[in-house]
Amino acid sequence: MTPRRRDPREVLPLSPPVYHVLLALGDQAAHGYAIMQTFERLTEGREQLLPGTLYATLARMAETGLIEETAPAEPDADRRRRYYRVTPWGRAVAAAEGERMRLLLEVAAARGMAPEGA
Amino acid sequence: MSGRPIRAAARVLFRVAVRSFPRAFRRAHGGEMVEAFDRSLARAMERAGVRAGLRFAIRSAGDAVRQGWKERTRGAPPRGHGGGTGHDQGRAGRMMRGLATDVRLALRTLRKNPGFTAAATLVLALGIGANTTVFSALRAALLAPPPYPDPERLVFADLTLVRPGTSGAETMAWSYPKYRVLAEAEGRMIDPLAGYASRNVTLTEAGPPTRINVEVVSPGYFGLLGADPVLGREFTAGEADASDPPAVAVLSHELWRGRFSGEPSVLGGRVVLNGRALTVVGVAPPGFRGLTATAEAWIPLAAAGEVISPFMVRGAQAHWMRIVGRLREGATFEGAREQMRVLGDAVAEAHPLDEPGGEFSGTARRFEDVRVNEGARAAVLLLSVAAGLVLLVACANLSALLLTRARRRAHDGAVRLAMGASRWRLVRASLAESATLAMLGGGVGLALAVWGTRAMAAAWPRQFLGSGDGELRVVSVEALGLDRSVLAFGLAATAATIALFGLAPALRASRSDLASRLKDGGGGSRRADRVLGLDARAVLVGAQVALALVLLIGAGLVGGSMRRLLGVDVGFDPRNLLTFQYAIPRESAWQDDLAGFHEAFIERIERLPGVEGVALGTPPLVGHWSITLVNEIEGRDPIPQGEGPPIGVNIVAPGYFDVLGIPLLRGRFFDSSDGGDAAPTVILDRRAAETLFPGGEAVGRHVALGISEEGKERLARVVGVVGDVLYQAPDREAIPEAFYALREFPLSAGSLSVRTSGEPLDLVPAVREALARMDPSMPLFSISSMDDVAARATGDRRVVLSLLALFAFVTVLLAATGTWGIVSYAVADRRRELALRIALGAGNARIVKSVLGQSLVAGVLGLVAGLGGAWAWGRLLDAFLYRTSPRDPAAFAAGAALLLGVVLLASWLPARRATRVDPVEALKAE
Repeated sequence: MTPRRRDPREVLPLSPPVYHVLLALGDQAAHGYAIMQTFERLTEGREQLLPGTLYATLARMAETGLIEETAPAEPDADRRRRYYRVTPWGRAVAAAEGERMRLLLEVAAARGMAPEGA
Repeated sequence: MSGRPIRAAARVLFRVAVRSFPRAFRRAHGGEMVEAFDRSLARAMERAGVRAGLRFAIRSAGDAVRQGWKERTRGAPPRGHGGGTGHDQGRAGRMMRGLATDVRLALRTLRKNPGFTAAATLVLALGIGANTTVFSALRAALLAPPPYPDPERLVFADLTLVRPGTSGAETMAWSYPKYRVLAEAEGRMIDPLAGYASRNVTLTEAGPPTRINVEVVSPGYFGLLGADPVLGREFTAGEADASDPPAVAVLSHELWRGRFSGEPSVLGGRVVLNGRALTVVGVAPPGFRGLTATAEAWIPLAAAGEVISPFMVRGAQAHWMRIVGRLREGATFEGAREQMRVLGDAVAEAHPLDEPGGEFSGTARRFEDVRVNEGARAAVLLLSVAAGLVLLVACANLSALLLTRARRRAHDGAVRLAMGASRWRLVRASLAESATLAMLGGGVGLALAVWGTRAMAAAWPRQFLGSGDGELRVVSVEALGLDRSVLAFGLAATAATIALFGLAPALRASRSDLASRLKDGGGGSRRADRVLGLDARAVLVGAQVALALVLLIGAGLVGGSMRRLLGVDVGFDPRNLLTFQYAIPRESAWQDDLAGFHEAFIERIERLPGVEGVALGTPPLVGHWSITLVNEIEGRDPIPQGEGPPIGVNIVAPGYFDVLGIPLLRGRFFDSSDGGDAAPTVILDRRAAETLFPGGEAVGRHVALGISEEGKERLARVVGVVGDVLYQAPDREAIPEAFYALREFPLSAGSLSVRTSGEPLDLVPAVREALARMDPSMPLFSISSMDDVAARATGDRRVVLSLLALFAFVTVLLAATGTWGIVSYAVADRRRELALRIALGAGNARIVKSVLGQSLVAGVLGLVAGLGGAWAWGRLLDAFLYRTSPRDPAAFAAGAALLLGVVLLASWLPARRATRVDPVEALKAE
């Protein structure tokens, strides 16, 4: 399955867990639990990925090529865990989603429906 | 409740939820998912407390179920974009969403009624917790396959002895020569087979001297049990020859790691047991401790003669080992058992019984039938039934509770029906509420079970659940716990509960007579739920009373037995006694003066601070030192060989009776004149004196017992008669006892009972040091306080009694709240009518009677049914009763009276409120 040639905008909007995983991963390689933790930290504990959703999402994202399994960065990492990183396609999709959201936010701001400073 | 059981229960809950994912997915991600959950849970609990953790667990479990379901229904190849947005269509999806709505609704309703929800959850948790806990014991003891490969093909090859005049054959241990006959038989269906027995030996060198258990086993023992050594080898067929005793041993993994630092070089090295050096040829796999579950090392059968006693390999009538084997390919158990009869006869022919009248034969038993003793089997079955009754009572209680609620909400239901909701929809909503409650109760119940199994493992005496026949210990108390099957059972119990308590209210919800409900206002029609002319809830209360009475009478019967057992006169003063044993090694210089050693050691102990007296000799309650037969009694006809009455024998030092508080009835105690070269003397207890010299004076007469050695005067003169002492557990039949002086029979091992002024076990270090001063190679073992010994003697009953009592208490409480509930409801329901009656001048007694009627009829019917139930289940209790009939009228009467009192009180308290109805208020309120 090679969805990479397509326009990333075709798969938008992303479901929140997918976007959250992409954001949490960034340019790092990480395993599931680390993704949960990172995401919680990035959102200052206001958002949480639950394990069931997280692993189901990871499996689907790996299938569709948004992320891929990789060897862990640190040499002493836990071998029993699967590590993931964002593919270039995933990166493009995440950027497109960000762009879509920025647009929406601008619209919201213009209508006075966005928080100050957004 | 602390966080740990909650955490354990939450983990269990999440694991179950994860099962909704397809298997392949679980294989790939399941482990990580659970780990991530576990760590997040720990963090949440640490940061925000147990409640936050619980919230996280419930959310995560729900989320996992949803995602797992999605994953299962996805089926089709993955869609092009990255996220499943959950637009699953079709029946399954719609159903799931409908269910989710129902559950959400139910949760909202339950949250709005915290009192009801808490009560219902607690009732269910008690029922499910009790059952899951007891099931873990049931599984460990009777259901789980033994931890060996192909356990269903494992069998015991038994030697049996039929004595004339007795019915049935007695199962015997094998002697080495008899084992050889069986092992060398051609064409056996039980092949391979292996003999084993456990013995206590002294381990010296490479550390302080200690007593350890070894198993004496045949070559092939390890292979038979699928426990091939991890290092080296097991015994070879060549090491089975007793004429050339093999000096080899296999070590347990734990002994190797502990005492031999886990060095592979241990192979070929030596281990010293009972002073014999043996070559280590192998190390057993970790955790393997043999069929007796206590072995630290193994030696070949043929070496037992060298290491333990020559008699073990030479004596054809020295029966000491059991034989376990495997059915050969194609052989059936029945065939093997038949063949064992023939082989047993061949063994009997080769080594016939040397006393007249007995006949050896053989048989076979399945391994699974032997693994726990009858007492354990009976206990587990009894408790399973009892726990089942608790769950039934819980269901009945809850059902009544839900019916009451359903009645109060009948009006809501009618309104919903009128607005066009389908009846099915109402049934579903009601079922969803029951199911949600059951889930809550099940969750809390599992947490209770985590705690319960731990408590049970701690309370269950080790020797009880652990001991099967023939020293077998396949079931360990440590194995009690929540595993997959116990969990599945807990969930099944929960599902059964939903069906049991949820169905009646659900059906009621659908059976709504619209017009009358709407007209009826809030109260609901009283004619609705009737069974045999009685209110359905009254019937449910009656059922609770009946079941509670069954448990109450059971607890009363076992409790009475326990009281009787504890009240048995043991014949000595068990307070503040420390007991222990020691053994004088064969190579010790003291071997030439054994009595001298004992006396010197006693003197040392007597000088220790806090010691009030020292008694040498087997202490009471731990079992007889030896049981032999009476051979000759002065003034009586000669007794044919082997036909005298059995008698226990104890070897004691002067002071034994005094220190233990055993009274002298006639004659004198031993003193320094007894034993040695003097004419043999003996002291009898009253039972023995009456058995041997009925109606006459025993002191001064002579008697010969089976203990007499060659070259000694056979007849011993009776010098004293002492009070009866129990050497076995009080529920066993007492055997008469005879005492010889230590100087008469110097032993190479000693049992001391030390009377202390303080806590007996505090003395142990000082005793250890005293022994080390005399000989540093001598081990001290079997250290125990007499209190513990006495507790062990009633141990299995204690566990059964405490659980039965707990179950009985819970069910009586439930029956009481059930009764209370129905009467309170009757009062509230009939306010208007009662107010009217009071206004018209009805007296208090009349008012109370009118609201009590139903509950009293139900209660009394319940009591009658309960008496019948208790009558029927007596057989299950029989194994735990001591001098108590399972149909003891006193216990029945007491149980019924107590429960009647509870029912009356629980009815009367709310009924009283009926008389306080203020007619003006009540009538105005309409």
